[in-house]
Amino acid sequence: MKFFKVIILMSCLLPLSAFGQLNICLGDAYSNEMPPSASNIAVYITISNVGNHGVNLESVTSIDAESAMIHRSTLGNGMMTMQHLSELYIPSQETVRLEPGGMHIMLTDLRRSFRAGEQIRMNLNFSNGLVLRVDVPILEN
Amino acid sequence: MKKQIVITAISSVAILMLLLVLILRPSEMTNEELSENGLYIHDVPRPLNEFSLIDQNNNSINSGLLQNQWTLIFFGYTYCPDICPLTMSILNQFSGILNEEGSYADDTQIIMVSVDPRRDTPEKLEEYVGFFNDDYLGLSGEYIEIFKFASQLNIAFAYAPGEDEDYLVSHSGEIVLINPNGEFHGFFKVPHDPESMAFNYQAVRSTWD
Repeated sequence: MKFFKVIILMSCLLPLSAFGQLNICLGDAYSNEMPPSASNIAVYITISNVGNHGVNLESVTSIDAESAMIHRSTLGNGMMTMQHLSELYIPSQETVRLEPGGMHIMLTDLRRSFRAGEQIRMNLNFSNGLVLRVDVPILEN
Repeated sequence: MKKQIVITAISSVAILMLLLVLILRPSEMTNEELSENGLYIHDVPRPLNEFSLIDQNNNSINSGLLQNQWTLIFFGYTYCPDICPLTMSILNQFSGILNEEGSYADDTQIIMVSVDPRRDTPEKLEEYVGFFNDDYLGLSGEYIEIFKFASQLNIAFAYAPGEDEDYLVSHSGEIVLINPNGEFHGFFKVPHDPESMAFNYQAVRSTWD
């Protein structure tokens, strides 16, 4: 948890550094613990763009899962549907929240079962070339 | 004079307490009020046709399961990472409220029916449902039986194409309410909130019993 906070803090401080392009700030990353045999898990996170240009979250990778996709849960035709987003646009000076029942990053085929208190490693790859690593804490239900 | 004051004070307190009890009791809500608060009640409960499903312990299940107690049914699947665990967690909080308040917990059963029987075996459902609450039941069975059962309850589901085993299932998010006669009594609308669900449910129960 402490390590996770350090990473978040660093990613927020980076815009103040000499690296002008590093303008994305991450926060509130978490997953809810799933049953041991569950192979998928949803990650929730807040992404803020403190820069002056819009940025796309182009892909997500995780060495703890086979694949990662950005999903939006929507209500259509009376059914809850998960829509796959090829990328997620973060406008300049705005914050996009991935929350339960809204958007999430779905990690599929987890390499092993993750319990509450553990962390899943994840990389967010942005269109400006920025790659941010997040260690996502698993919370108890 | 003193006696009069005492009598006035006592009766004021009594009236106040009576008012409080009436205000705090979630009874006497009309169906319109319940609907506005998230629980739709049918004007006339709808009887259900016989069905044949399998529980998480491989036991055959039919309409007898729904007799003599109230039932909440959620349709979902274990590969679903967002809405289903969220709803199961909300149901568990709902059960927690009934337990804490000592109201209607004993004769309320909660069931998850899988809309993905191809992947959700009874063994998988046992672990999944038990993870959220040991008392919950997880039902699966033949696709056609699940489809017929869901259709009676206005629950729709559809498969989205995917690779091999990595497909997603769209499904209605409503939680179905069945009365002790085994009839489709109403449904909790999306989005769900454990507090208002418990309040609405207690209101329905207080007028039924």
